Amino acid sequence: MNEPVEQAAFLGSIAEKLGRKRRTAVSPPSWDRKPWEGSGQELNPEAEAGGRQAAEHEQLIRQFMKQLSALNTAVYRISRADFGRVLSEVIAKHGIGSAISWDDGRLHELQLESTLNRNGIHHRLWRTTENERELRTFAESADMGITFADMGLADTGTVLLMNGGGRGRLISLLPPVYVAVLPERFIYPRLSDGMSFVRSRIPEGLPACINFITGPSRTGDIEADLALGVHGPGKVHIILLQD
Amino acid sequence: MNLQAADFKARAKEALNDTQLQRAVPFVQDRLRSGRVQAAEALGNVEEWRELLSEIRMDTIDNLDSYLEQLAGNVRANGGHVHFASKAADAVSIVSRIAEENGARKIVKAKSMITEEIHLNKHLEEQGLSVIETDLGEYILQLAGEKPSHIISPALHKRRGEIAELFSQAAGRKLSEDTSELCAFAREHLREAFMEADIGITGCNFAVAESGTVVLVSNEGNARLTTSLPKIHIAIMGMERIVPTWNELDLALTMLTRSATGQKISVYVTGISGPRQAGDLDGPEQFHLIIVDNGRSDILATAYKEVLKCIRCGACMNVCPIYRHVGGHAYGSVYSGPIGAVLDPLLEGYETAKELPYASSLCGACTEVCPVKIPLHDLLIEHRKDEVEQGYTPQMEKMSFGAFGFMASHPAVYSKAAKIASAGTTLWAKDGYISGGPGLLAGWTAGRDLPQPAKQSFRDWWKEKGGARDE
Ligand code: SF4
Repeated sequence: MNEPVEQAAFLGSIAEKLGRKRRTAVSPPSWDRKPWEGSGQELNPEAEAGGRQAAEHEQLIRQFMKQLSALNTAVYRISRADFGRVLSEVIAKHGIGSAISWDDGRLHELQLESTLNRNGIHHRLWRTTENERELRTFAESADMGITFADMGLADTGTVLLMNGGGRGRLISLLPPVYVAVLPERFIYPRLSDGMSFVRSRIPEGLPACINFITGPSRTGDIEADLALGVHGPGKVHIILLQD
Repeated sequence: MNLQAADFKARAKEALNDTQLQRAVPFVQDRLRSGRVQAAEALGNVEEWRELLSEIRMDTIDNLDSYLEQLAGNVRANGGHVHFASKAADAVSIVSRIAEENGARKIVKAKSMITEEIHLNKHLEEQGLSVIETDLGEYILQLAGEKPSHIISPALHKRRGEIAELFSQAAGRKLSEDTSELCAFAREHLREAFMEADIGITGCNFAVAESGTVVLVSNEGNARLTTSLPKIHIAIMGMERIVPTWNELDLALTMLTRSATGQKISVYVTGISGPRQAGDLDGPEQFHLIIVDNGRSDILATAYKEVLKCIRCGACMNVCPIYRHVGGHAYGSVYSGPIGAVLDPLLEGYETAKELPYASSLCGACTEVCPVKIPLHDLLIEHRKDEVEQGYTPQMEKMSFGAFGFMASHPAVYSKAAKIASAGTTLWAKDGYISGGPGLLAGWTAGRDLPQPAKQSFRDWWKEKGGARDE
């Protein structure tokens, strides 16, 4: 393990300026203080122990929904059986003609494709066997992108997406309307839970792109006037599945 | 030296004559103040957060060599390339080389402070590359034909009418002044740039050492497009922009967005761990991380070391009475506001930035809100002492007394500064949060030289403009 010369020089000079020898493999001090405790952000202290109580979790779901409704994001809390109906509503509402979605078993289970077909939607999956250029061009012109989400965070109204393979990062980014599907049991109290989740995946290797998404793309660059959808989707819908 | 001394005053004067700026800065500051209060109330125990994050940042700085080594190792393990740049010029030539080796012609950029600091665009354009800024505010300025070196806050100094005109010209049809119509045009136009670009360049809000991940925080989503569509992604980071693990990232992010914009989190937080992986159909094929020193390691050995804890939230300028009067571009450097007044002289030297430590009333409001507890106003005093010792005194002393004398003898201005300061010790000390809108945050990225140094003194412009504005 030879250290590249430029790295050795760069890091050596840091150590020198710090007035000591080079250090290596330092671990950060453990801090067990958790400032969010008792501040209303940790609504479910038993979450980590796996003993989540229904009432507490209900509170988290409500918080997640409330947070998102303040961020111009529609949340639908429905049973799996209603997925097709609700998605059709969204399609009608925005006059959707084309859609692209993750190639993800969790979406297939919901009969996503048959719903899209029923609505006459020109639709493609982000299938890794397909031609990249073609798929990308399609995604760029599609009216709607649909993904699953790996986690929801109640405090901020965030969904966490572990992209990669059939779970393309562009699906939640290019089309002007974005729909994320999330089982409500995946909702956790706050950002810390998302971080723990990501950390737990490090040993197997993180995907090249992870996204925490909270509401629609926004800007205030024109006279501080809030505008949605300047680069990413301006319309975001979260479909919560009551399992 | 006299010419330099005149610069700040000239810029300040220009700012004070800019009616849009004079309207917009206080408007945004006030707006952010109420947003900040809300964000703070939701947290409740902000002192605890500040204290902990400050400790974490200090540990990181004290062990920077180790964390950077870990980061570099993990970026490589993820399949990325790591480059170390001691000086601005090194960073620039690394980018040039990557562009050249790959025959790149078109570059899209997401807004980043470090690329401003190393004047990257100018160099790349000289090399014949097309560089497109994709942040909406920056894009507006590019259309205006204003060089990035003249950027202050796009949002603050451009009126909607001007923007509509610029966009109409670019579109070849008449666009209304409606914000959503203007944004729709920008979206469409910039999408083409993204689809065609060979290289995407971003900064780095935080790099996570334990996984080799570059974390980007954005509301518009242009950073995501920049890191997803081009074949090559180059991320450039100041060497201190690192956190050991995702646990520390948690705290840093929690404080960054609340302090910067009052948001609990930005719309997008994106973690990039190397180039696309086997089986991925999107994402860049090459990922480069450039770690930049550019004067930072020198700061490690000085009394100013704590300034490296900065997470670039902009909260300090959102409460600064001087910034309120003169805006970002009067500072004439990359970083403005209190953090700029501390950092610019360190990065650029007193020769260029010696006036900035005097662009402060030392009211302490900045120190009160800083989420990582950098003693900003103490460091400004430290600078003044150092300047005295190094012989930059006379001019500076006069300026200082001028400002102070004016403040002290003009109750309206003084009381305003005092009011802000005392709010800092009560409200802000309690919650520690200040919010900033996209506009002001952009403004903090600062401007540069404005032409024609004026002969008016600091005291005079302050009296003439500042005094008149404060009742
Ligand atoms: S110095 Fe200013 S910009 Fe930096 S962290 Fe503190 S308040 Fe934020």
